[in-house]
Amino acid sequence: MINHAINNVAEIDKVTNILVKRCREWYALHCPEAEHEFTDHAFFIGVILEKDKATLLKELKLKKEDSMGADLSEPDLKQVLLLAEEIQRLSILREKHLAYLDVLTKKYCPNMQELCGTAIAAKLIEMVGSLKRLALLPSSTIQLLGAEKALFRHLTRKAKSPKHGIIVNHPVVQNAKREDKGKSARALADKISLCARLDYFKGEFKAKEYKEELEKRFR
Amino acid sequence: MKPSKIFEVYQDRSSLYTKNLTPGKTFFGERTVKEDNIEYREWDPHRSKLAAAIIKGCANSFIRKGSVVLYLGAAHGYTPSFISDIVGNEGFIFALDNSPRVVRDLVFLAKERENIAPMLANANHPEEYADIPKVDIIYQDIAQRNQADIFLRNIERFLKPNGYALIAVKARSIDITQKPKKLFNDVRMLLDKKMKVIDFRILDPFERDHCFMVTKR
Repeated sequence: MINHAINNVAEIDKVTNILVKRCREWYALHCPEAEHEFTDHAFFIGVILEKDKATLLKELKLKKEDSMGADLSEPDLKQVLLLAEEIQRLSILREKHLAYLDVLTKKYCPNMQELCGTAIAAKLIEMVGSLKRLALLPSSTIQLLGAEKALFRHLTRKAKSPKHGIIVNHPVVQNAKREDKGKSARALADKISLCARLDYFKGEFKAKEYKEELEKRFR
Repeated sequence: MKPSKIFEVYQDRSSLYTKNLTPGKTFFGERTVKEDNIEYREWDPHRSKLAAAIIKGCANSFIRKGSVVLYLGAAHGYTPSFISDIVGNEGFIFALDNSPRVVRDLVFLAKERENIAPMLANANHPEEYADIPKVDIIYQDIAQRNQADIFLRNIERFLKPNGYALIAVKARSIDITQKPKKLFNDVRMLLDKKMKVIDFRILDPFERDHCFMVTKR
């Protein structure tokens, strides 16, 4: 279940990105100023669904004559807005998936969930196939999950060894100083591997201590 | 951060920088460095042929503070934004492009930078925009078959008598079947009739089969 859900989240991301790109270009024919102003995709979609061109221009403190966009007719604009609606619906679906994953991971791997958050925990499990396999992996492998390409580049040619795989997205690694990135990734991978084992074999809850320890060390 | 040998361009190890004309604002997601309260923008030679030419050792671009530049083929305005840093508020850039889609982006750039004027026109027909004044520098970066010809016609019409003209030549869009070196020479011969080529750089490895020439009247 976790595998399918997290994979679908990734796919929705991919699809919405493609659709948003089209929607932006399309809507920009109508009102390029608004398209340029709202860089955040989700926010942009929300805005164009809610407000029409006149209100948007007023908010941006522009006169109607100053706009570069063409006035699209009702049926023309409708198609763009239909697309925007569809995109919004997809992003709602994504949120629902994430909420569901939240419940699921809290139930099956509370330690992992606490330590690295829903998305990364689910992704790690998805990558190796199951919680059991993850629990049996050495932490050095966990550290580099998702960096296989870089790892083999390192092993076969003379490239630098990768420091981290998908655990880069974890706040501990993200907030670490540049010279501490590798260290923090290693420490985090240790703790993740401990957590995975706790979740699979014993069921105790120790992730909070681990998390505090890490945050203290890399601030 | 040290001044490089090019006017108003700075160098730190192997990267180029210009002083940001609009501190706190960037347009292309480029890296900025703050030093002594001055903000510098990093200039990527993979995205800008002028930066590539400078890295390849171009001795002088002749664009300086206060220059008036006619930029043919401005596209989204990456290079123009750096030229706008170089010429500063005393200078001016006429940024020309033929495609409405990219001029739209240029307009947003020009709103923030007062020394850029975006223009939607075809460089093939200088008479369409004949009302602009004579300029100090003409910079051309358009991948067209007759780009040397377009270049010369624009020079004749808009360049001041003692002005300089810079051109980036893309061999692949002139003739795909011929060797780039031969094409570069052809263009050079063509330019030499009217201008003096004072600098010639091949932009490998930043751009494949491109060369950059600095010419003088």
